[in-house]
Amino acid sequence: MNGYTGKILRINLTSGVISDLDTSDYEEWGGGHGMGSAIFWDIVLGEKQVDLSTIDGFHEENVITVMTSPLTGTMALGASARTEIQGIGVQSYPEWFTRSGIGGRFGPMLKYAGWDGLVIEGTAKNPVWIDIRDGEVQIKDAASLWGLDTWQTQEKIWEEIDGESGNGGWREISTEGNGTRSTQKPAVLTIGPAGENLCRVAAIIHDAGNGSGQGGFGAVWGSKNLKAISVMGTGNIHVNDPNELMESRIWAIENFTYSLDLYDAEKAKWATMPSNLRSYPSPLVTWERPQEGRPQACMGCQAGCRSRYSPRDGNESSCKESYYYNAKVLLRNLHVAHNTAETPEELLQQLYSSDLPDPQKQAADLAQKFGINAAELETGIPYLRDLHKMGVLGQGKEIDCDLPFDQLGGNAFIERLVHMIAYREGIGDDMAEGFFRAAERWGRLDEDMQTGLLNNCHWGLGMHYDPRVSLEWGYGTILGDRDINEHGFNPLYMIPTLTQEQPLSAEDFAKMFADRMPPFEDDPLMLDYSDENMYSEHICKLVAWHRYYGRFWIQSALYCDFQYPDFFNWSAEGYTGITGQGEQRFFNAVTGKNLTFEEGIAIGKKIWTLDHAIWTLQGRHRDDVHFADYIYDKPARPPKFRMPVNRNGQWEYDRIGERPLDRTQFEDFKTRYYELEGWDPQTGWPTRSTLESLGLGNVADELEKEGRLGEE
Amino acid sequence: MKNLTAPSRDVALQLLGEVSFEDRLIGSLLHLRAGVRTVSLYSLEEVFLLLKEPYPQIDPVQLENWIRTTLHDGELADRIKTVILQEEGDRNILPAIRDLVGWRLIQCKQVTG
Repeated sequence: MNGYTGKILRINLTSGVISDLDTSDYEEWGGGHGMGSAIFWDIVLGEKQVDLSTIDGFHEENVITVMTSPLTGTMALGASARTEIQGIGVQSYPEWFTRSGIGGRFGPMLKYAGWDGLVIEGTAKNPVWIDIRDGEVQIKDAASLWGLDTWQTQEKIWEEIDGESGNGGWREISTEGNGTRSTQKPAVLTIGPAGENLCRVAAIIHDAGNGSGQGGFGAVWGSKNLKAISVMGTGNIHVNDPNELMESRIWAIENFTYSLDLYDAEKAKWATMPSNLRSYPSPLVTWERPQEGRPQACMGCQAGCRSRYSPRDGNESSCKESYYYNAKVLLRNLHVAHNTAETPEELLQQLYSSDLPDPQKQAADLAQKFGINAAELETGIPYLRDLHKMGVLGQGKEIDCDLPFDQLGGNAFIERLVHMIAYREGIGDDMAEGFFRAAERWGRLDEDMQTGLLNNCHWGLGMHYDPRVSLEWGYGTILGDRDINEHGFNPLYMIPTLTQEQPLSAEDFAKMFADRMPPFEDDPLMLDYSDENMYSEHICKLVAWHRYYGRFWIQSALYCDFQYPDFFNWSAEGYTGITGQGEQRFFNAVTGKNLTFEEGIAIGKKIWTLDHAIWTLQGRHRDDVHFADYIYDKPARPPKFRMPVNRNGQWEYDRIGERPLDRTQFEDFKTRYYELEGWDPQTGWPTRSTLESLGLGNVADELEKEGRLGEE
Repeated sequence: MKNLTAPSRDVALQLLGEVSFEDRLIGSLLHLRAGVRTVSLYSLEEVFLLLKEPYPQIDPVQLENWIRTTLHDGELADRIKTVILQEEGDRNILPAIRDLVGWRLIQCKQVTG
């Protein structure tokens, strides 16, 4: 089994029994998510015979998987360091079986320790942490760790394993004195106070700035009394063809990444775009990058989408953590009157002087240390402010709290807010449930879901890209379990919207994407985002393909979403990115298989269908699959994206936005979508013939037993 | 200063203050990575800060109307209207408006001490 270690570690926290599974039993799923879903199915439904409609994420029978892929820990470009976490989450509404990814170095270290993944079952009586050193696995008392923040926890574990803070030379790591040594720090996944206090917005954190936020798995770990998992590995991974792997990496860098020798400021800006391969470090942060910083990357990654700074505020944080407390917009405490500017430029300089404290970076650190999902705070903070301005939230108000709104934008506000949530103080007890459930507790949910004041439009989760405009994103989310957070089609509308001169015609742009979307490659109308096409069978294919690609190549083979799929690429000949060529090339070099790109897509369909069967057993019916009212009743807010559209057979770019969804037509879309998938359009449940065609006859049997098999 | 008449102290204080929830203006931030975020704008200063972002999203005509009818600054609104008529596309209009708003804020600061 090239690329795999051959074993998956299984830990039962209730009994303390430690065992393993054979990876080969799950090899057909590729890795990551596919394996995780199959293992969840086998244990929860097969072994334990649990009725999924009766348990939630906090239930002892919930099983959490932490999976790698055959590419993890190798030199596969952009696929060396992701780890996939799954189980029943507690953040969405209802609590769906869900997933969350995390980068850094945990996955590679787990592979080097000899494990393709972890399976966590049961609930410990008292707080514990798991210490993995190659094949040695111990469940340890976490009394001294409970209550610590995520950074303190990791430092304590490093200290225990290394005997000091961890910065040094070679150290013996085996507890059995077998001479196994390493220079590396253990890789640790841990929860903070938010997870311990079962906050549904709790994340799992690794190193300074890697977070598994979606799903609230931090709280699930807290409910299992699991504080942390530490792993030290000293082994290696058998790669089928190391020469081919290295040649593939060099080929990818030379042909698809950005060359500093050809530096162009305008193009360089796009080199930081998610879903473009990047050759040079380009932090995905929204704050000003200080001179005193250096790039930081996940293990084996060429991109370096985070930084380390001097001083250290904001170390390793990126994307949402860097964005959620955007002080530049919320700032009130640096009042204009306090400045001496004579020009707007001076005004800007004084407002954002590097001498001033940077609440954005410190807010990022707070989210990491307390273990809170920054995406939830991103929608929650503007909501709190609007409620405050409405006069319903604040000191002595209907929703009584002591949040210092006069300090909004500064440190005092965010420190208080994070503390309230992590320790469930005051209305923090409501917000710890997530802002959707908080609104419900405050008696505001119906009103705020009608007006859109609370911008949580699907499954109680915050909007990321508007489903009224970014169809593949929104439809994919509501047909699934969480904000998909897959950026593959962003360039299709970001580049036309924000560039002065279009590199490609709308027709060529649409075809560039469609050509690499098997088995639907003959239908470029998948990329027609017009009002006339937005509920069509073409858009069904777009959504389906995106789900399949995501489920296999992103979440199972574990290519990083910030780099794949790479359709359009400024650096490549004819702008044609690596997708369709690169994914399988790396996969086959490592595994020795002969998998085609399309076969990967087909495995993705199988995984997507298995997930849908799990949601079906949790109780999902097609009637549950709808957005919040404001998505149908109100037009999308700006911006209007310039998107490819096809009218009367002619392709063009047009500004799309400010449109609501139509309820009836979206229901028609769902019917077409279920028919495309081979699921029962009356219920949305998979049918036996579809399941059997995918080799999932056992899944059909289970659905039939529970009376939830779709009609043919 | 950019041919804007210095505001009175009362007007300056009003322009530096916050409006009510009902009178807020809605804008959006577009970020290459993080996506789109809708933003409630409660003051002229916040408008300025939004316009400083790389890809601010705000309807210039709505902004002009808001400044005229909610903040009662007809002169600034007129100047913005001129920009809208003279310039082409938000890419050119919004930076010009940002500078006008910035000038107005500096004037307000000077008037209020």
